[in-house]
Amino acid sequence: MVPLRSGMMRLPDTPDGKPVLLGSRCPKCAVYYFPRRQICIACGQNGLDETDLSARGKVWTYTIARQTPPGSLVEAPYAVAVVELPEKVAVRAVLTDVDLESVRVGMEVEITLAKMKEDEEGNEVVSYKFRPV
Amino acid sequence: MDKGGTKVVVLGVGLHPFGRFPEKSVTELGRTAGLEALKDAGVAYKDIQAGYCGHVVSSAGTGLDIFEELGSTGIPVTNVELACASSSRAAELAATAIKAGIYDMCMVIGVEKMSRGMLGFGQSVGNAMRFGAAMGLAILPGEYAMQAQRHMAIYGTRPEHFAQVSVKAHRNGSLNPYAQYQVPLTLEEVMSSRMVADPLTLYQCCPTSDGASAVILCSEERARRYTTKPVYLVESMGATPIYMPGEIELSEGPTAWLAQKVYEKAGVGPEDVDVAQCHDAFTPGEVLTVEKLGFCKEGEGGPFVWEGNTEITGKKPMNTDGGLLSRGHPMGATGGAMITEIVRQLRGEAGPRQVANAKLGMIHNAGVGGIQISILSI
Repeated sequence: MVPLRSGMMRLPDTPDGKPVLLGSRCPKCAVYYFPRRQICIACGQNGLDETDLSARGKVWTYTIARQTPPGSLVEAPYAVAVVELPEKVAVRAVLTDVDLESVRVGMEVEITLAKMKEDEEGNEVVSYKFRPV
Repeated sequence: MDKGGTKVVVLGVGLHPFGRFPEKSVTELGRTAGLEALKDAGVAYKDIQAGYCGHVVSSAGTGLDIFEELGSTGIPVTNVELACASSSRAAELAATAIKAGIYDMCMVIGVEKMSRGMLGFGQSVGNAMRFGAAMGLAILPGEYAMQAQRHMAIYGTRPEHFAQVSVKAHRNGSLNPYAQYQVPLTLEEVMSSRMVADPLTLYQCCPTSDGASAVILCSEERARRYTTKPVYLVESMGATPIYMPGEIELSEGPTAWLAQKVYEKAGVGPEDVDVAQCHDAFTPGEVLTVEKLGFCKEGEGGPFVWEGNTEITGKKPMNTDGGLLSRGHPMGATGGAMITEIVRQLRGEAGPRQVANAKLGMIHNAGVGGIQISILSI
């Protein structure tokens, strides 16, 4: 398995495990960020700690894409959400294993590994999605 | 723009119609708008002391290509890119130079030629990797659709409130000979067009377009040679998102915060705005922005639009020329087109679109990369 975008998540040991999102935590003021970043925008600290982010969150908002956008490996129709994690970070992600008509603001969701495509060497290219708890 | 310094007048405005012109180059589009603005201002190209060109997807050097269509007088030409707000930002830069006394007269040309279909948000407008295009996350209407979904969940805004923005836009567009679409649409037609990203249907999304705008700015003193009724660019300011720990914000910039700053600098309030332009790339743009500009209370944008307050005859006429939805949206040209319509309104030259007694206008223009808010008045 290889990640679609590097630096966003830690891969599970097995294909049926969960990925872990990689965030930053400011050692000075304890604010979290996703994706990881160098500088804390809240207090200016240069150099933030790497941290694992929660696997579960709530749908802060969403929409249903009815037309596959340019460059997307995910085919419409699909739900895309801004998921708010307990660390108060926002993660944009496609929702999977979900009835599109049931998606609601406030819905509880958990992270899951998503197979996106196969690369030229036959490796499975993976990313993260969220699904209803 | 700071307090003090010379006042800035919008002396001339011009457009190339917005629509599809596959046989025309960006230089031809820009030249047409530029010539119309020179004629409107009553000046010659040799009077222009600096040029600014707003464009997004054309190549480096496009500004010079266009200005050289008009003349080759050695003036500095600067390309300005702020995605869909490029020519608004270009106007601020030109105005700042005039305020500082560096130039007496500048021209801003905005232009774009675009291909059909959903914009590659992660490709031509932004970095594909950063916006997660392959993951399925780079959906340009999706950002506005998600803002709409949350607005509905929290405030009870209805899908038809958003759709009504498009009904009004197309009715206004039918009164504008430069608009890309000049055919009114019913609410039923808007809501039954195909869904793109819930709740946004196709007719709630602006088109891709070809077109150009041109605006000539000059100092107040210089303007006296040409007009006894100057239209002033009173204030124009830009901003990027302000980080608030723990808060999530999906829009292009801090509109309410910037509007407040602009009102304070201009010495006016939302009650003084007679006519406005806002970034209705997608219908939620208008519903959410009327709240942020202070035209109605937070959460009440849906009913505010639904009840007709942003119609030409309403309390706060918005996008009287059809807006991005109906006038069209050649990205680099839109800012200048917003200025053009406000100027025509304040001069009393808007014909069937004329708002009665329009004395003060406001413009909100947004892009991937920031926002711009301007106030004009007579």
